Amino acid sequence: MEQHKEETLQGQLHLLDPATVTFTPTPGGYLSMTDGENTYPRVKLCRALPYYEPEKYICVCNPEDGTEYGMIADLAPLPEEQKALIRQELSRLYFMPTVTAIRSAKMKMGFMEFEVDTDLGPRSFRMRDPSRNIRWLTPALDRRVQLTDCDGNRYLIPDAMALDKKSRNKIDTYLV
Amino acid sequence: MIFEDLPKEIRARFEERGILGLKECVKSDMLPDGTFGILWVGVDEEYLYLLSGKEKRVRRRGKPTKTEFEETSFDLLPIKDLGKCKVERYFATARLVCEKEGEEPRELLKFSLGAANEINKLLRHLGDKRGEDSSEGGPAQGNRGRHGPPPPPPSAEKSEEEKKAKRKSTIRRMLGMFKDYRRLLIRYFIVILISAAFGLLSPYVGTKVLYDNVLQEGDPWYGQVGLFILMLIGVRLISMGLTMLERKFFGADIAPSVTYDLKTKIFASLQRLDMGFYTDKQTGALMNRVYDDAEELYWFFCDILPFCVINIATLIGITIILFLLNPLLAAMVIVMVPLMFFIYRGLTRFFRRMHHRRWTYRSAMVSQVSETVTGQRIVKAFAKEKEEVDRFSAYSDRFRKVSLQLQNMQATVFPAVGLLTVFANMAVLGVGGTMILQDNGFTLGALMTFTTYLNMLYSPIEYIAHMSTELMRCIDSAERVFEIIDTVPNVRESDNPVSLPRLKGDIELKNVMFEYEPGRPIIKDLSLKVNAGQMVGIVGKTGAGKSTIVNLMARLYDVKEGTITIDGVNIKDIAIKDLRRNIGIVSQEIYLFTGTVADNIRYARPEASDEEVIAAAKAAAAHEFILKLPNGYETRIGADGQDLSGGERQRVSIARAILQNPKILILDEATASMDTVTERKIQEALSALQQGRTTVSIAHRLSTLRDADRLAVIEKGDMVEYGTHEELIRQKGVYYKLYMLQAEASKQIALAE
Ligand SMILES: Nc1ncnc2c1ncn2[C@@H]1O[C@H](COP(=O)(O)OP(=O)(O)OP(=O)(O)O)[C@@H](O)[C@H]1O
Ligand SMILES: [Mg+2]
Repeated sequence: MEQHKEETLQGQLHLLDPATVTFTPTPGGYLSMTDGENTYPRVKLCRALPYYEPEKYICVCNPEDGTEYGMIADLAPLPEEQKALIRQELSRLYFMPTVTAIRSAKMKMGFMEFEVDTDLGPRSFRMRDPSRNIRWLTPALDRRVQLTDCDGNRYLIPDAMALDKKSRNKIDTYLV
Repeated sequence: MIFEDLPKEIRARFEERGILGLKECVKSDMLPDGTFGILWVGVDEEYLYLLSGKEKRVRRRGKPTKTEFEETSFDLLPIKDLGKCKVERYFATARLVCEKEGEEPRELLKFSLGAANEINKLLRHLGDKRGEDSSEGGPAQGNRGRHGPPPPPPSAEKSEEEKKAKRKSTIRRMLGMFKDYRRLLIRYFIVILISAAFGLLSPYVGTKVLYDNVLQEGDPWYGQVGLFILMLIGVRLISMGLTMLERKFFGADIAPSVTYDLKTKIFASLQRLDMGFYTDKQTGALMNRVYDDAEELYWFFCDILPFCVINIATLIGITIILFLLNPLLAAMVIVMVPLMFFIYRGLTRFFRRMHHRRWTYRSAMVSQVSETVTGQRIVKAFAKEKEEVDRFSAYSDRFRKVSLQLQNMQATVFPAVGLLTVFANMAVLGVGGTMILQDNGFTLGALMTFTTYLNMLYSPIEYIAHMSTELMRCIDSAERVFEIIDTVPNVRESDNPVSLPRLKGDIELKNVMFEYEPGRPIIKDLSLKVNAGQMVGIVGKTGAGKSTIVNLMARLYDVKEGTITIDGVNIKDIAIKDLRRNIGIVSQEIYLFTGTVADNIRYARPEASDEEVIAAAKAAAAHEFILKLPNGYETRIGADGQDLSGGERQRVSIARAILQNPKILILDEATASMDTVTERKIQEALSALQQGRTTVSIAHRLSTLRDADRLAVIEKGDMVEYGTHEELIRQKGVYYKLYMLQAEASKQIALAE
């Protein structure tokens, strides 16, 4: 009985066979996919678990309407150059600035005004309601912290414990 | 921004290249290489200009820091080579791409989500306008009038300078709320000052007069102990009376009125705002806090402000008295004041951080409790009681730890600070005692009085130090409150609204485009006509945008492009009151207010009689189940131990719409949670009432739409099919497939039976 249920659930996934799929870059910088007979001239990639399993469960979709063509369960069995291609595309889609230091964070008239250093250079932004917008991705599970500014831009702190003490003190009280 | 409004240095960069006018120029925030920077993007008739650079902060002594633009590159692209431009949104960034017919999209620029609004302004000028191509032969060559492009909608966004000016005036506005109470306030302040003066007087009487007069041989007051005690009591009584009077003035008269005014104002402005405001995530969070903020302001006015005034007055008074008693000692003590102030302020900040952490931990714990209570059904269903307990104890343990830490800190830090005041007192006693012994006119009474006043000095300092952080909090709160009061709703009545008390009910959507978030169009170029008195059914996959279409018809949101007209009048021009009265919606998410069933039905027309309410309930097939409720129509929903089922709620809300008797009735999955028999009954009642009424009905179950005159099939924000049932069946398209699928299912059921 249990066995049976497992099987039907598996059947839901539309997994792509790493042996038959190939991705090729298009001149415009997008990706196309061939899977056996089928070719898809432009596909969109989408991570199902963007933070915790960035290299697994990657959905391949129609860029126009988002219908799923299939899912790559894991990048590992793919050939190296395919992996590189997919990684490059994913890093473009999921690009998020990384905060390396917090220069200043001051509550000013209802906003928290940040001046931070990111991997893309210095940046200042304003944040509303810091207790909601500075948060662990998952409390207790890992040390990544996400900041969301008042425009909806997101910034990642890859390891809050690894920040220098001055930077950390500035956000410490808000981390629940 | 139009060219003239650009910062001077930016305008100069364009002008030095011979570009003397731009139709639009916006500021974006990422450079072509993907790093942060400044990118000015301009368009004119022929070219798209990209001016990129970095902003450099120049700190100047005594003047506000200025930012200077440092150019890194300049680029221009002919617009006619671009093709169709659109925004592609990613996880945390977005980019503008252009796509030529038959070619792949090409990236023009990257930006962070904050710049999306600006970029959207630009899109208007990049051949993205529909319908215009045919009339003007392409936007690139079209020689438009001076005001060619439509002005951007006046949105809530303001320039940085404006914001700053606004902030400065917050304090002034906060005080401005007291304008109507000026006379009361002046009286109040006089009372406060007198009371503070008496408070200052009592130690003088209590100590100085006692030692230097009453107990001093040879003084006219010598030995008058009884009189002295009477005097002391008198002073105390007067000062107590004054305190009571001041409480009454402020606590009972002024502050409640002001906060009442404020809360009413907030509530009224919340009602004024459009749906977009409520669904916008950030403002949603803002709203949740607004009542806390009003409360915060109340405390500011009732508690903090008056005590602050008293404390400042006391501080000044004490300082004066100390100098009068002994200038040398006073000078010694005064040096200490700023030191104490900063120590207290530092402590307040430190403890506030600690308290804040304790508060966050506590609210995490509490919300975990309330979550499991409301979700108890699920917890039980999945047998997760144990996990929930574990989760709770983790939260609770963390809270316990921080509470303990806080208490330990408090238990050690405050006595340590107390020690400081002890040292100060010792120093004063030492120096003062020496002075008395040297006998240069300084008396024992004066010394005792001096130390008494000295001890009175600490608490105002502490209070004022504490105040300065408190004040910041209140300004924050006031900011948020005023922000809500000042928000200009996007859906606004036009300046000259057309009054249409009785609509006919023709609805027409022309090339409508709509998006909740920039760059993610939900409705793309949709045209649809509903004739008065007709019933139009809308079908389509979930998430296709059906609800969005009807929300647009009811003007809960405004279209981004295209027009919606009712009886030939643009709905933006129809008086909102008339529009709302004539359009009734039974929406997909049913909301019933706390109150009786009858109240809920009567919501649309409070003056409706009881008979009308019952008749409406009957038409909605709700009458029978309502009678079965413990208190009939007077059953309180949510209270009385009574909750309604999904289908029952739907029927109450249909009754509400029937009672409203609108010319246009919108049913968004209104009967989805009901069995087909009940649904049929409602439909019959509705079609009897439907004479001359326009009905738009959304349904997944096609049987719901069997009475529809026309059917519209929506797919991904576009209308793919439109016609009568027969026409669509003959067309053998999407509708046909859907119909066969559902018919198949019912056939199988029939066979099984
Ligand atoms: N307030 C909102 N903010 C952002 N996106 C929204 C909002 N409301 C709806 N959407 C999105 O708009 C799209 C269309 O939603 P809509 O509610 O119109 O669908 P629908 O056709 O009524 O679907 P259903 O049949 O499930 O009711 C969905 O993709 C949804 O995620
Ligand atoms: Mg819907």
